[in-house]
Amino acid sequence: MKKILIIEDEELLYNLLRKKLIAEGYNVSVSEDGQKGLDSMKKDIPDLILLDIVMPNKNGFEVMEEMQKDKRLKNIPIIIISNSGQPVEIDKAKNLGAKDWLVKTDFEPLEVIKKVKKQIG
Amino acid sequence: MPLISKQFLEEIKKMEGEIIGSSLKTDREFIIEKEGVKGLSKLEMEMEKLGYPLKQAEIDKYKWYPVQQDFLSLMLAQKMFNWSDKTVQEWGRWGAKTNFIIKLMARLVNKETITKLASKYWRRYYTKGEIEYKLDYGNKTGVAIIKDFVIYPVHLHYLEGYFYQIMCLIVSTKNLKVEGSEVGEPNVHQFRITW
Amino acid sequence: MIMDDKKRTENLLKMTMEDLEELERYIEELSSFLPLAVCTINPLRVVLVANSAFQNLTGYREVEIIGEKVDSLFLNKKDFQNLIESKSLKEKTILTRRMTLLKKKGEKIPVNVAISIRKDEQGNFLGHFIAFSDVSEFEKLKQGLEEKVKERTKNLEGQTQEITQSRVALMNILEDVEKAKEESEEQRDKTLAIFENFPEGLLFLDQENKISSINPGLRNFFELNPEKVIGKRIAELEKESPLNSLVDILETTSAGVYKKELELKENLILEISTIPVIRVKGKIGTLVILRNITREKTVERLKTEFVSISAHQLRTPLSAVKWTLKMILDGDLGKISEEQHEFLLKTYKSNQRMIHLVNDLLNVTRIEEGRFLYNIKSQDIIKIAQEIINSCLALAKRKKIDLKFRKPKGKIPKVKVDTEKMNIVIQNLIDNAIHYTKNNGKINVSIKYLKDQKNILVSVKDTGIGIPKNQEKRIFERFFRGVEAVKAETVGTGLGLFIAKNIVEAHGGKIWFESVENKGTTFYFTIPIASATISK
Repeated sequence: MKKILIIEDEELLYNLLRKKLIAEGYNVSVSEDGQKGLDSMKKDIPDLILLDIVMPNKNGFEVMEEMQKDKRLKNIPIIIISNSGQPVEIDKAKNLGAKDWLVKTDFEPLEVIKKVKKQIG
Repeated sequence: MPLISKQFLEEIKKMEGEIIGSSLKTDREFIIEKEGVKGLSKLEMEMEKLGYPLKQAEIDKYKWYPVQQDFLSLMLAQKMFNWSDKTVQEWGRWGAKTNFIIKLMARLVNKETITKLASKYWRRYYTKGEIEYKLDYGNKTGVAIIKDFVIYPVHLHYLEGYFYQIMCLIVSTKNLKVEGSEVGEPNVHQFRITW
Repeated sequence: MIMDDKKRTENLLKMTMEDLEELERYIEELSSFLPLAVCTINPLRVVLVANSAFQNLTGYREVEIIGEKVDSLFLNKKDFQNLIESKSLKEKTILTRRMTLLKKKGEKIPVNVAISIRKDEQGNFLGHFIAFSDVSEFEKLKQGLEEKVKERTKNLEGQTQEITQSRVALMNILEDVEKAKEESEEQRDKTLAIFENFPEGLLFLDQENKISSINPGLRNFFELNPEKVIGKRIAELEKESPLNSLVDILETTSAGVYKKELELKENLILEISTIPVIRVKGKIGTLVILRNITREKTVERLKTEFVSISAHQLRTPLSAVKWTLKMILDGDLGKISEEQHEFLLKTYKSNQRMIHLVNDLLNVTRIEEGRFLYNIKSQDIIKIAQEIINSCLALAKRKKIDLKFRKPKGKIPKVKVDTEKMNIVIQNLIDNAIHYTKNNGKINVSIKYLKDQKNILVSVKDTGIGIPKNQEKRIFERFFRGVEAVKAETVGTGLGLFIAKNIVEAHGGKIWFESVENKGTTFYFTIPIASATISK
């Protein structure tokens, strides 16, 4: 079973995501802020990370920056969850290693599954 | 037919007296004036025929010539050129105007002097004859009497003109008239002057 | 003896005669020579003698005039009679008088008459000498001169009149000029007063782009020493000059009104407008108005920030609702009844609209914040359009609308666009076309290359409800929705066309439409080809 780490501070969202992903047969863990996320992934390296950008205690970019520095974490595929969907944000994320992105207000659960599957099957 | 009959000519030859050259010259200038030089030549030729040759150019102003020269030329001229009495009077006036001596005299002529000068200047012309001059300015009449002088009709008219011209100097010519006539006595003529 | 006497007398006489003749000759000579016309008259004024000059002058021969009264020679006989009897003649030796001579033939000539009295040795009055000198030549000359003088005087008078008239006219002109000068001074004073008191900063550049004048308002923004600035071109200013920041803006003055914003300091933002000042004879200079728009900008920024923040804030709950509803509708959170599904679906749709609205609001704020066009690259617009059309085909099919794409024949140049924004435009136009066209309608999307204008023209033609004439002007306004549009379809924020217009114009293009009610609408927009200038 593939492991997915959701780093997201919005309870409703991560609950929904988790429900959906579990239903699809994935193992899901959640961290509610950037730092917690980093700690969690260091302990247990996930197969995929769903990363929110705007978070307390290290935002998405900062998390990605730190991940880049760590050999172990560098290559973990990341799908970011963007608030605005602004190219500025997305490009920056891409440059920091994000493989794909979801726009918070736009995405649909099916889209999430599609993109997750694309990365880790 | 000759202009002047032989008989008349003989009579004239008997005339006594001289006339001053300048007067003759002046008279003949009138002929030139009227009839031109050719006319004068004709007259001179006639005069020569009559025995009194005299060319204009030869006349010496201050020489005395026989009075016949004067008379004859007067008569001839009138006959030859068919001059009227009026023309002869004009001739007389001409004489009084152009003659140098007359001019000199005229300077002195006035009402007072005329009587005295008249006879004085007669003598300048003719060596014969006496003139008496009387003028009544009040009645505007006068008379000039010439005695002892042969005057033929043509000459009479001439002298009428002459006196007329003299009178011009002293009276208005408006009504001036001079009439010459015989008085019955031989060689006495009078000229009645009215103005 | 008598003979001797006679001869002697004769000789004396002869001599005297000769003298007399000589004298006569001499007098004749003298008389002929005398160039002066002289005659002698007696007291009765009868002419006695006249010389040749006299005869020549009067036209009378001596024989004609002798014996005649001299009065007949004078035009004015009374005058002459008075003269000759006058006392002054008796006193003077010679009396001269200007009189008119009457010649023989009636000709009148002016003469100078000199009269003197003749007296004999005893002093008796003998008459007069009268001399005439012809002054006709002199008179002619005098008359000629007089006429000339008259003429000249007339001319001068005429000229004087002209001069006077000119002077009067000149005075009038001067008066007018004075008046005009006063008026213009008044105007100038007014203008100056306005210039000095204008609450904004004013700068006037002359025809040579030299700084001609600055007003006190300007010094609120820049600490200026007018002397260092006036008369110089902007570019010539010293490097330290405060006005240096204006160089770029002012160097590019154009024919039209030109506006630009300049942030001088942190809390000082100016809006700089350059206005060419044109009079009859052409451009006389440029007026530069500097408005302090810091406050406005701040307000705007705060507003935008507020909207932005609010929108962001709104997104979160909206997103949450969306996901939850979706998951419920997808059955991921348990089974739901048909009825529940129906209600929840409506709720979902309603929420979607809210999300769209919030997105649009955010887009609007981004436009206003000026951060909008971001990723500009040379793109093939056909490809962009094709993708969008493809994604709309499903929706069109559902309404049984025939959606066609007419591509241009052959290759067309690329355009420099922000792809995402371009997507929004095309998406918006096609969405509108679909929404406002009834079932079984037609939609044609076509792209053309306008070579002369160096533009790409995109058009979206529908057979829909059309736009009424009275709403045409407001179509591109923020939040405006046509009355019919509202009736036809409640989905729609009224921001779509506003955003589309902003995007198109940001790319340097134009957007417009043609419409007939109940027949259809065609929207057009142009994008300049790759050598586009993007202006803010």
